[in-house]
Amino acid sequence: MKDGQFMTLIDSLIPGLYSFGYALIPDELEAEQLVMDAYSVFVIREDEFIQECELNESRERAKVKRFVQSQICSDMVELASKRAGHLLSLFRRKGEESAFYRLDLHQRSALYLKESLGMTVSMLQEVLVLEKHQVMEALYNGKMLLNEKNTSELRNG
Amino acid sequence: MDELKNQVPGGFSAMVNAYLDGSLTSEKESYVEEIVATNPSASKIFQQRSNERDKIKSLIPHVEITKDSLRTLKREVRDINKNLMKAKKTSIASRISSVLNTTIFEF
Repeated sequence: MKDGQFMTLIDSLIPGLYSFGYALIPDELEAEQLVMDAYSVFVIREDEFIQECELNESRERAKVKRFVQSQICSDMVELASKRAGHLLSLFRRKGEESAFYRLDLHQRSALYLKESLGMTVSMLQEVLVLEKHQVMEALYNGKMLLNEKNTSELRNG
Repeated sequence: MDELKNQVPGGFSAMVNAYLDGSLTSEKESYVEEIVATNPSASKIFQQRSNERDKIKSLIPHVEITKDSLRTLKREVRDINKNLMKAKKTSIASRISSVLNTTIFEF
């Protein structure tokens, strides 16, 4: 694979990865760091894959893009789960975002990836390393809690 | 007869969710659209699901990346590649040259 082709693919993923990073940890610098660190983990683990994958055909490109995106997102979730405990103050938010940041990490990830990045349930299984029923549960509970918490936020002003 | 016409087919609600996800085949999409257009109960379910989906989407923050962050991240991923991927797959010529400890094209 040519270096330029892979970088074009990564460049196209960066905006979505950054937004996802912000959904995991609501801070611009932390979101940037999350993308960089997850990308490093991915490069170290998948070095051989990166050097050998072919991106000439559009079908191959789509397959590689899906793999790269889900792997990096998966690493981001894992890294965020380790960091979130030290960054609790960032999660105490007010306004419209507060309900979302009161959900747990899997619920937030599942909802964001599905509703904002348009991932399918099978992709969510890859990213979150969960069974299908667990993904469905995270989505369902996430939606219910989001509505509930938003309503109670509005009621409490 | 009207009652029958107003009945919602089994599994319709799940089909609407899949429709809103964009994961239905075009054939099934047309089927949902046809039922929604002709069946008031189905239309009500569709509207309800669609509103719920919009509400959920509006509660999920979507932060657009700034130009500065995009520039930083593009630069960083290139540095990461340079530092972590270098020299893993070297050409046969350079491998032979490293064995011979000389540049094989310089005779």
